[in-house]
Amino acid sequence: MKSDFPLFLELRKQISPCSSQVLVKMSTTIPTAFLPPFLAQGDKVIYSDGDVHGSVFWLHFCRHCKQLRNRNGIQEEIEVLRCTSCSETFTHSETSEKEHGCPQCFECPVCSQALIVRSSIVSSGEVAPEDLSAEAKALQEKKFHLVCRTCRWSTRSAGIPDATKQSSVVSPWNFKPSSSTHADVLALADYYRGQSITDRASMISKNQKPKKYRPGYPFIADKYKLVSVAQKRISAASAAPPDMVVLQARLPNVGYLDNLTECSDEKLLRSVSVEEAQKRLTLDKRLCYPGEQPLTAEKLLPRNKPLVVKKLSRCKACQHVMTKTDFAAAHTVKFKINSSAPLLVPTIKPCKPSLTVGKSCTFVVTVKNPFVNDIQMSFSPVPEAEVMPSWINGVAVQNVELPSTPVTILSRLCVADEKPSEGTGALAREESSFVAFRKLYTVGLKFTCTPVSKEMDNWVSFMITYDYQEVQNTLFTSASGTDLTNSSSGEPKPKEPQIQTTWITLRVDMNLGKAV
Amino acid sequence: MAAATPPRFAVQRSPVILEMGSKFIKVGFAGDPSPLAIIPSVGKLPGGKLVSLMNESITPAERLEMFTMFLSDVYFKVLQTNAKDRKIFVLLNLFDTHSLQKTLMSVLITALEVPAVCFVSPHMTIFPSIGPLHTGLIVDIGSVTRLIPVSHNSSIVGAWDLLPGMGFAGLVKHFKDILPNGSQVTSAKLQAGDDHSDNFEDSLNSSLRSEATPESSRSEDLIQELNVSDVCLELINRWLACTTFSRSKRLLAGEKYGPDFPPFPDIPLRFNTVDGTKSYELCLTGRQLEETMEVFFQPNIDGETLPSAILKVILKCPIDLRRAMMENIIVVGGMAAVKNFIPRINSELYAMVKEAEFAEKFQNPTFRFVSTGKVPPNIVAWRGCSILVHADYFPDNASFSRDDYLLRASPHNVSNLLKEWCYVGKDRRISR
Repeated sequence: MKSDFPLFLELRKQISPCSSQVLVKMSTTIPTAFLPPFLAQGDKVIYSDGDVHGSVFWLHFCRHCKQLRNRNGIQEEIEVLRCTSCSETFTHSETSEKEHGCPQCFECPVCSQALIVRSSIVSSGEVAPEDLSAEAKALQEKKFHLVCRTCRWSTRSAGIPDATKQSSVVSPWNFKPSSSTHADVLALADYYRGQSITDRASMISKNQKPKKYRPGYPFIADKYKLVSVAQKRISAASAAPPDMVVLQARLPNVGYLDNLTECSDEKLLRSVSVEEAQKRLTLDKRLCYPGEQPLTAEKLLPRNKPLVVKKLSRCKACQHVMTKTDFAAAHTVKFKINSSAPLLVPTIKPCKPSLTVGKSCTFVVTVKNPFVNDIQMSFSPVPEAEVMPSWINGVAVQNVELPSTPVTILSRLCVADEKPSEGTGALAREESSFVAFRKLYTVGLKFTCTPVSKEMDNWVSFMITYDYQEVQNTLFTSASGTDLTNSSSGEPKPKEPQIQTTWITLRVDMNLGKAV
Repeated sequence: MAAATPPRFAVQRSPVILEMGSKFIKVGFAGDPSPLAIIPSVGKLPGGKLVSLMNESITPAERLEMFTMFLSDVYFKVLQTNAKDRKIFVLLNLFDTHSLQKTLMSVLITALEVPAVCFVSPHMTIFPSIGPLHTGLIVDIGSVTRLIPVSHNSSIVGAWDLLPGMGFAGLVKHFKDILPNGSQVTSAKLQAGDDHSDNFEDSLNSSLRSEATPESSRSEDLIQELNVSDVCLELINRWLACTTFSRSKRLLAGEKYGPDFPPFPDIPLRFNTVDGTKSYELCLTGRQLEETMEVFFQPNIDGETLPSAILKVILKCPIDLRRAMMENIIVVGGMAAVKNFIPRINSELYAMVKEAEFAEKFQNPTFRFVSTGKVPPNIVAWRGCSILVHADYFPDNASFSRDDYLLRASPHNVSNLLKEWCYVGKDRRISR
């Protein structure tokens, strides 16, 4: 064991960043250089809908309320917990709060990787391993121990006895720290509970004023059972107080530091020497064991593998599920339900404009249709009554010219249909002075404005209105009341899919940058 | 008991207990002997920048956003529980700002929908975690030092004291002052952090060839770049020890190390920056190492040291409680674990009472320090709260329920509504 120590320390130094799983999770930042360009420039185009505003990539869109939602409008909750090592899933109520982590899997105390179970045949008597006779086999026993695949740590090197049986339900190992501290906690809790009961009882009796004798009408009181209620209250107040002497006797003794003479120079110097200090654990590692916070690696025990959480988010207004992830077998994460705004709101992006102060400039804005149906989008100026929102840190441009008529944007299906993106009947007739280009389900539109400032960012604000179509299939509505009557009458009639159209209006603010 | 006072909130699961320290927060469930996790109290601003949760220089909106992200991470990643299932008890220090309390309240109740929040002061949970002790002096050495005399589980308000210069913040400041005298810093650029090489083999080879390439720069400039707070954390964790009383006298007199005054060893320290692109090597001299902890024992700008402040607090207490205070001193907080620290305070106290200022008042005093036993000193307050909450000790009206908050709170009157502290003395009153 001792000879392995330097190796442990070396490994710990190398692997320590990932060992402190909690610390790393909580405090990693993503450098902006690694973000995809659309996320890094997320603050260029701000969508707003009432109180909610932000980049489309940080927002959600509730399909039921048909409104944008930001983080405050979403309630997150745990759907299921999962062990990354054995892929076992647990429901939220299943994991008892006293036992966090997977009950089956353990992680290495040195490098935090998952430990694997190894079996070995140990002979209890003096029998050669090659001896295959029945008597020799009777003396042999199969034993299990845990080994780390990454470093050389094993339960055997740490002096933990081997397990004799291995079941797939209950782990034979239990590395919980000794229960003495837990017993202390329970004894103290009992004592304080007892104290609070006596306190409360005395408070109740203190508040009750001595009642004057009043010749009343006991039969009425008895009729409405008031006597029994009053009696109940009195008996509860004077419920037998717990025997504090017994509780006090069970308490842990208060210890005092007895040996408070300062340590000698040699002892002090030894404790700060480099050899001693290098045996000590790093802070991150120590804090992984909050109850003990061991100084050295000698007493480290494996921990239960922490679980990962699969979250579910709901709209706070309508309680419908907005985002639900799905773990596939090959660890790819896909969504069962996804209400991210880019999937449900047309994405608007300005192409890089060249702006000159005081001159009318034309620039191209691309609009992408995320839906499976063509949409009609119209643009209108912001009503003058609206005040400048707080997220605009610049000046508004003048003489904004927006596309005057509604624009049709083809659906995603045009890729599969191999529909020519230009020249179809409706699109050819379209007044195309403001359409710069069309490419599949994206359209480029020409905007014109006059920039104002060289020092500050120039912002263009406008409102968009588009049709949001919902297809209600019979498959999904079969559980509703109307369909039930159909099924009871006989054969269910196939129902035409109903299309509900809602017109959605959003405000868009675009940052065009500084003019020259 | 349950029949006498039916629970106001229908929450069966054991509540969450959150201790907001200035360097680390401790979080776990009531009834457990130790917290589930100890996390650095560092939050992420919307732009991705990491700042301390106690940072006062950011705007209220940023602070709200930061706390929302942080606490939702705490609930879903660390505690792995739904926020709306459990009541929460927040241990907040007596001298923390009110804005922190308001931010926590609004985030917990509006964003996370916690059913009820209760603020508890750590001073009344420290003794319950040790045993049946109700009177004594709490010396809480965290980021700052708080001296709180407690009598029958309620604090003696007129006598408490706060020493902002002594504690981790003071230590960092002191360390910054002494760092340029003799220490050497070198920095190096790490190849591993270089993500420009597309070829995996290339990057592998280069990282095998040389781990780091040295970068020449002046030591003084590098000291400016260094994150001194991290260096101090590393020092406290692994290297630091409090020197003895006799040695400190010789150190103060400017005596040089010699055969009869053996030196503290010079120590090498190594750090990587947060993004992993640069590493620093810092060589501290033995003298710097020895002088670091002296910040607690050398007179500060008010001419006060930790022992003299302790004695003054004891003198401010009523005369019949002073003996109990002297005999029940408990030192808690992250700094209390430094080697030889409590023995040094003890010997300094005995030396200090002989001085003219205190000699008349203290006749043959005995100082006794309460041992925290196996409990690490930085989780004592958390553990006490865990015990009291498990025992259902706090009255129901001490906590603020969500319904109350939504009904009555508006941005203007939140501070009036918040119930500041609940005392668990003999008469369990709620002060407003």
